[in-house]
Amino acid sequence: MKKEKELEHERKQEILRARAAALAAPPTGKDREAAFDVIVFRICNEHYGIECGFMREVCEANTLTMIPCTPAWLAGIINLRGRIVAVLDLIKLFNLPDAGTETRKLAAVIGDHEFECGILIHELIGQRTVFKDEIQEADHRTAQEALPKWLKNITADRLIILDYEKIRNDKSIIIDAEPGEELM
Amino acid sequence: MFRFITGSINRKLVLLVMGVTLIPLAMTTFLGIWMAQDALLKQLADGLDGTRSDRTNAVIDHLQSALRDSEFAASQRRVVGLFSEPNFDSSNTDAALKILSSKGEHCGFIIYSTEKNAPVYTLGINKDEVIKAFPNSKLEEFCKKVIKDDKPKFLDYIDYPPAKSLAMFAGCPIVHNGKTAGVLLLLVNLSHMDNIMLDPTGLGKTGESFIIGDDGYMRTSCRKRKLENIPSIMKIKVKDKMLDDVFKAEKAQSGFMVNSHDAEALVAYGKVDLKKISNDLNWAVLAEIETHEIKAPVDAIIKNIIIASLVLGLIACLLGFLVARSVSKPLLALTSKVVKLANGDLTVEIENVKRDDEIGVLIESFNRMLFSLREQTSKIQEGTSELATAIVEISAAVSELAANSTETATAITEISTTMEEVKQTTHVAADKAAHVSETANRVSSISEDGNKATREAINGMSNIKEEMMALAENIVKLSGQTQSIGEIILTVNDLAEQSNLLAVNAAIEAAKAGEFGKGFAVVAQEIKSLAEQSKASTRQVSGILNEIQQATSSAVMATERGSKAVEAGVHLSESAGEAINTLAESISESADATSQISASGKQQIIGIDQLAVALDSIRTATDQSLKGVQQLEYASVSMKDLAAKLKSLTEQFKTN
Repeated sequence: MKKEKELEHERKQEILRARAAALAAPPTGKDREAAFDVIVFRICNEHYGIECGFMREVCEANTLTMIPCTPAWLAGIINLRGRIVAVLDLIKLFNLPDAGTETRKLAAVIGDHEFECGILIHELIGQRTVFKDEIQEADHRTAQEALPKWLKNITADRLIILDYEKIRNDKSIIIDAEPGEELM
Repeated sequence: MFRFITGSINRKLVLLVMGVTLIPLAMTTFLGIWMAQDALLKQLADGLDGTRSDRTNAVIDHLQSALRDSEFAASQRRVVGLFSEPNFDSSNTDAALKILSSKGEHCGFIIYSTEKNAPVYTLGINKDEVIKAFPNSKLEEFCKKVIKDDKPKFLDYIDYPPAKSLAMFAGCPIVHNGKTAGVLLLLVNLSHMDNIMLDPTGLGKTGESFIIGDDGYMRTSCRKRKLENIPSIMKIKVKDKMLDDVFKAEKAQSGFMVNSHDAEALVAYGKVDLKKISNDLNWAVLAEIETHEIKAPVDAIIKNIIIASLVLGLIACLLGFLVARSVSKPLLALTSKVVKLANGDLTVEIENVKRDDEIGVLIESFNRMLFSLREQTSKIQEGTSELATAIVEISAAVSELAANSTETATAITEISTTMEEVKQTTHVAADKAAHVSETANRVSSISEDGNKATREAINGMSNIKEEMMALAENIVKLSGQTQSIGEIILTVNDLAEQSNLLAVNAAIEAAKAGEFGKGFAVVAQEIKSLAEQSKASTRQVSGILNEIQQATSSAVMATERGSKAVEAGVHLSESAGEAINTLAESISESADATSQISASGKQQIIGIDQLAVALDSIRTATDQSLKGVQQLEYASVSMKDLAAKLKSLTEQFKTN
């Protein structure tokens, strides 16, 4: 009896594993046209992506230095091999739902030769290629209310692709104030 | 008379109040009068003595001046000249002597000549009569005496016709040329002395003062007789007793005596002390007041006090009567009721008097007593009838008792039969007890073996305990090691994470490099998959490790439980040993008990024999009690009679 039960359990596991592998396999259609490569990361329960070209690197944000008299969405600054990079907290900036259970903190540094900033992320997922047939038009109902400002596309598997150009041109994230001045 | 007083509270109380009022009054009065009289008499005696002493001094003065003047005159040249000069003019002598008698202190002078043995000169008195009366007279005798003693002298009262009355002389020798030539005789003024003594000052109505000589005759007038013109000088003599007392006394004194008027009087007396000047006169001065005059004020006081006492007595009588009536009135009322009560009439009623004193309380208490007496008597009457009923019941009970006693005698016979059976049973019980005793001994040796086995079990258990302890320690060590493996796994996981990060960063860099970086991107992808694999492995390892940790902790728990169980086993085996011990002890106790049982069985047999004897005596006692019950029956009959008597007695009291 016992053995039968164990056998049944093993078979169930086998089936589940095969199903998971099938699902995990990347779409293989060679006929599909690739749009662009993105780096995927996770903030709370949502996956976000940014085009590889604008990505500098991902580093540990454990040595984040908090800056006094700054808005709450400025998580702090880090020293990245001699460069000072400001790290933004998207949760605070767009009032995303926060479970508050994440302990590991990473910073995804984006930028070009003129602009550079970091985004506070919870997990780095990896690199992936986004195909053109995956891309859906940004739908306000599916995305967070505040995000459209920076939103570029959303894929079918609910990957939110951020628009680097919009981030770069957003004036509201530039803090230019004297100490004591009222901040937004 | 005595019965008359003791028969009534009224009379007693009146008498008592009178006595209480009058006895102290009488005592104080008596004491007061006695002391007042004493003081009064002393005061009077002192006053009298003062008067007497004053007058004595005045008399002494008068006599002294007479003697002094006679001496002075006798030494006068104008007097001596009568003898020295033959033709001496006697008018000179007149002049000299008149000066001396000018104050009226002296009545006259006579000069006697020794040579002529006759008076040769007179002043203030008829010379012829003097000369005529001189020969063989007392005066002549006196003159010779003066010459003989050659010093001034007094001649006591003599009846002297030339002076037309009594006369008294002071004589002094006249010295001429160293010889006594004659005598100067001074006629003492007697009326002056009389006046001194007749002075009524300090002597009251009946008081008198006078001089007496040692012959008992008065030398000055008696005041009372003087008023009645009865001559008293040298006529009236005091009583002999008084005379004796006066002249025997050394000092001035006072006392009660019978005076010349035959009346009792307080007399102060003392001799006239003329020793310094002359020894011729032995006189005494007396001052007296008659007793009835002295006692008049004391008598008046006594009279007043007696009147006051009578009035007070009357008031006391009245008060006593009032008090007595207020006390006795309710008492008399009470008495009549109490007399009725004594005759057995309990129906009497006494009116309550509103009084706060003891009589009020008495009457109230009497009423209460009457009430309770009435109640008690009726209760006694009830009680008597109850008693009669009870006695009837008692006699019934007594007959029952007699029947019961008979039954008891029968029962006793039955008991003795039963007792024989008990005796048999006791024999059997003794045999059984001996058997039990043997069995107990056997069991005792078995329990000894059991004891030994238990001790061995305890030793084994402690060995197991030590082994368990060692096992527990090992498991704890194992647990610590799995902990450190967990730490290592964490580190590996961390490394995998960082490799992943690096792989992604490398991929980014490769992407930046474009077509040239494609090969590098493949490498980066490989590194990333490696990192993921190692991550998965560590996850598996940590899962296994978790299981190991759970297993060790359950092993620890099991060891703990095991050691506890071993301890409990030790305890159990110890208590088993104790139980076996206790069992052995109780078995030996029961062996003892069985031997005691067999012994007591024997005693029981003896006891039952004694019981048989006792039953015999009980039987005798039952017979006696039967007799007693008969006596009880007689007694109940006489009690019935007694109850009847009691009833007739209580019926004498009327309660309604």
